[in-house]
Amino acid sequence: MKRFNYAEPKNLVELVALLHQYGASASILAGGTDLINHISHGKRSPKIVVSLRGVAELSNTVIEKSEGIEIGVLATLTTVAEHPLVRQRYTALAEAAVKVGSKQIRNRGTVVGNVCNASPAADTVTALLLFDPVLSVLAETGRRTVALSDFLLGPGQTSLAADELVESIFLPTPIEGTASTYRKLSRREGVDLATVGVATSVEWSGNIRIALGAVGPKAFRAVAAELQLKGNPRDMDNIESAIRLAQVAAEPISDLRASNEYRREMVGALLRQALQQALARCKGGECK
Amino acid sequence: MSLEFVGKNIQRTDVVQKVTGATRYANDISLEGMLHGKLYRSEHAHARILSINTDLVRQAEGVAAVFTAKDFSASVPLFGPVTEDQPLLAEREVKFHGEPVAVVLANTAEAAQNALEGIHAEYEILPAICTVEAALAEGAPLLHAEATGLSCNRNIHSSYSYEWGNVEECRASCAHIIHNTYTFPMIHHSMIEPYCVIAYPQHGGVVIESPVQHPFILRRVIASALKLKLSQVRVIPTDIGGGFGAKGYSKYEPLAAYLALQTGKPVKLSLSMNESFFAARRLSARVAIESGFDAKGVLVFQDVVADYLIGAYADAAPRVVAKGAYLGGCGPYKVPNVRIKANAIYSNTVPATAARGFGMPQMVWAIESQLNEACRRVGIDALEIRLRNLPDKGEVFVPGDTPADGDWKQGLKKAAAMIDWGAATQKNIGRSISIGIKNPIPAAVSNAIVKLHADDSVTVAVGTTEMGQGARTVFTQIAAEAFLLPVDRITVIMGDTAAVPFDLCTAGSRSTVSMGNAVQQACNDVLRQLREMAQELELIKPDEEVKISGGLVTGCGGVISYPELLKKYLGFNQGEVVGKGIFKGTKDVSHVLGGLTDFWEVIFTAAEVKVEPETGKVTVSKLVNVSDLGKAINPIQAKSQEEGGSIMAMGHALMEQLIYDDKGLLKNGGSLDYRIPTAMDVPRSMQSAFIENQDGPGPYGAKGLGESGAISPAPAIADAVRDAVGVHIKDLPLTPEKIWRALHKR
Repeated sequence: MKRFNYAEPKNLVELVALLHQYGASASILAGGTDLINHISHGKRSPKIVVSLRGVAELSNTVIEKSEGIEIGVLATLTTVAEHPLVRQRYTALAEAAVKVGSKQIRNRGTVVGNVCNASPAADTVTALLLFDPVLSVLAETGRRTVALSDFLLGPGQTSLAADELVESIFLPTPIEGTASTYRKLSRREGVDLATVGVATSVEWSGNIRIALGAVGPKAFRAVAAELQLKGNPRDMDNIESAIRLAQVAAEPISDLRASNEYRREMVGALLRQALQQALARCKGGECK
Repeated sequence: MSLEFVGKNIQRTDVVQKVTGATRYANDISLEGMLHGKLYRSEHAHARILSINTDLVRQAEGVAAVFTAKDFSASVPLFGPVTEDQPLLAEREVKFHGEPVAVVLANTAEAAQNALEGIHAEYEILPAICTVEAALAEGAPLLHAEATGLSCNRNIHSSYSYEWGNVEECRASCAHIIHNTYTFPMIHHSMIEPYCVIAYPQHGGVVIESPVQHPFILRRVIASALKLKLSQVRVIPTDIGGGFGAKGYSKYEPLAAYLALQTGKPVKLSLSMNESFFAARRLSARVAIESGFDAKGVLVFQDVVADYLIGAYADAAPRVVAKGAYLGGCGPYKVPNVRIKANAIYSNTVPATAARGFGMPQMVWAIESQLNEACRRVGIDALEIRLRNLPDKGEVFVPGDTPADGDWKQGLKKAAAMIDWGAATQKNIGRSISIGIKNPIPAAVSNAIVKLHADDSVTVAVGTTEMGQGARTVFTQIAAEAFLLPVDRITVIMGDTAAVPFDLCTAGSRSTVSMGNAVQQACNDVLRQLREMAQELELIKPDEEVKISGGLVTGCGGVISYPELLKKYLGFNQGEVVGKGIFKGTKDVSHVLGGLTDFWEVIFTAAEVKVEPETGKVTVSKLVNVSDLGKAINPIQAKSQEEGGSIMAMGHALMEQLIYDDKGLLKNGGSLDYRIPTAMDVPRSMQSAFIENQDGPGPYGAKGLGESGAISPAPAIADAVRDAVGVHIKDLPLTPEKIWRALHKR
């Protein structure tokens, strides 16, 4: 049995004070689906676990703003996956959120938690990267905002300081007529980590975005491939050229799940499928 | 004959306790003054132990005792159901990654766990053997060189050969000779309940409570290892949260019993789920098989060499090899010329043991795949080639053994019809069909005692254990049918070796037939005694037709209830009628396995898959199973067994395998990295059906089932993949990467 203290601050002032006081020896509890594993496997040994559940100001929903949506730190994967606006405008995110873990995990685990865990294979991170996400980070000293791509540093590593927490993630409204999708390859259908994850969005204008997961130290945008497709996303030869650029950008490892060679090839296979799907959705008017 | 209880979907008698969490599992047991043990395990696969420093730990808070091999009064006792080769704790050498080398006993599990960190062991690392090739190589280290009484030749524990006809002479008559080597991975049973045992001294002996499938074998193994009499060892099996063979044979019980006797206190060893990966696995195998066919696809011969890789200690693995090899040349088919040699080969891996199917999934994978290759050469389909090779009912297919006891062509055709055999498929969709077969444990004994109490309730006492397979409910139905009493008047007591009569084991799909017969016989013994009582009291005449059912004895003199009869005969509140029943499998000392096959457990599986060529991903879209089971005592339970087995088989077919690195370290010993199918992986269409011709030796013509579902799906799925996209894969599992590589020649 691991021992630690437990606190349930009632408001942000108490919360940030606790984080300031305990710093790196505190762990933040939202859904707990990663934290509890980390504690029981000895990966983290907090002196105190600070629960967010009683903090009045923190949100457990997706809030619609005029310029986009804000995903609260306590919004569960299920909440995000089932939110009508997420499904409509940020389809890849809804598709990714519903592929994380099991139903039980999705009912407890949060999107912000999935992001802060910073796994290179995190499904929602790969999908979020399509949507210019900005994180709102809070500490006793004040708020700051940071782009997701800057927030992620490597496997399990983020730019979050010991006394900070992520309050919410803001996703600006995509350009009218954007369609997106997330494709995941895993060893089995239920409760598995991505062997490779690919997210793609297509704007009506022909701009393409591509994010890759589990093929590098962190999920990332395949920018060269995006540029290749810009303005000409339906040409088969051009798609193949872009796929090759995405494969070059990938730096997969070999592990128990798959070899690096296979992973690199699957970037191509999944990207091809994802592009087809996103383009079909766009053509079908779904994204208008 | 119309039946009231048998053949009905009677609700499982333990279902409410299980779904409400009321069932008491071993880990729920806590006794006064109990010590908690935690195991310090080897981090090497093969190494000489130079020293184990436990000084720090012995003084640690809460620690009551620490045992390493040096703390045993004499040399460390060895145990094993076949060969006593496994020490309670490693003595001079560790032979597999995760082998226990020390145990800490403390007042709490937490104190014991924390104390493990203070133990430090020094090793001299030795080369590790983790494959058949490495174990058989010239100059390979001999893992049991020091063992006495073992005919260890190049790490071969034992070999088993069967032969009939003449394989050499018939070759010339074959139109097609096909030679292939098939491999089958190491599989973990993945039962949800981890290992747990509580042992405590009692009456000069020891009591063991654990989720063990075979309490009487455990009793024998412990008595032998610890030099006790059988009467001094009492095994009380707890409800088993999944066994699948993993909990058949002794694992940590001999150690717990030793510790309880040494300390004089109750000792509990409760393992984590990840530690289960260091306790048991299914045997992996490399099967080299040569098959000869005539021009019509009829089998002429099969010549087989099966190398089963067992673990660091024998456990039950040699028996698995002997049984697997027995049908390894023929499967369910008529093969006039057969030669098979099977080897049980030691390695520096976790000890291998019984696992659902007991050696048959490995052999059936090879045999069925050969037929699938042959039908392509002959130009017929997978259904037709099987119809051409199956024996008719009553036809001998293993010389000297029981003939085919079912209409197997009927079952095969039914499975084919259920999957729309012959209908056109779309691109990348394929179908195939396979047959699984197994024989139960020959010459095995089951005893049952049935007591009719003064209030006409009934206790059935059997050595069978309940591991979710539903035996408790099946015996309840058999007893209820015999007495025509409602099921809630029947209580089934299972397993306690001090309370129930001997039963060999709960394995081999045998309990419905063997224990079912014993229970039925014991019920009839009670009815016979009731009749005799009524005669003696002159309530009925000796030659009178009487009906004894529903709690009543009806004769021409009128009607009397059981309670009244017992009161009249034995006195007020003193009544109990004890009936005995025994089933003995057909013993034959001249037979290689010691007895004849009591029934053939046969299943027909048809699979439809969809393959995504770009990724190699396989989706099993349809899975059909048809079991030839004689009579389903409880159809919904039988269906659940069949489905459960085949979902388990989808694991070794598609994703499961234990991975050892070249140093012999287990790389995926845990549920995060060892993947088994989830509900999401279950085929969208999963259908079960039975052939019920009431032609089995069990009650009401039943045969056994439970293992068969795990035997047949892999070759059907693999051949369906070949049908879909043309790749022929001979080593399981069929991972997406493997299929992708085959498709893209990478």
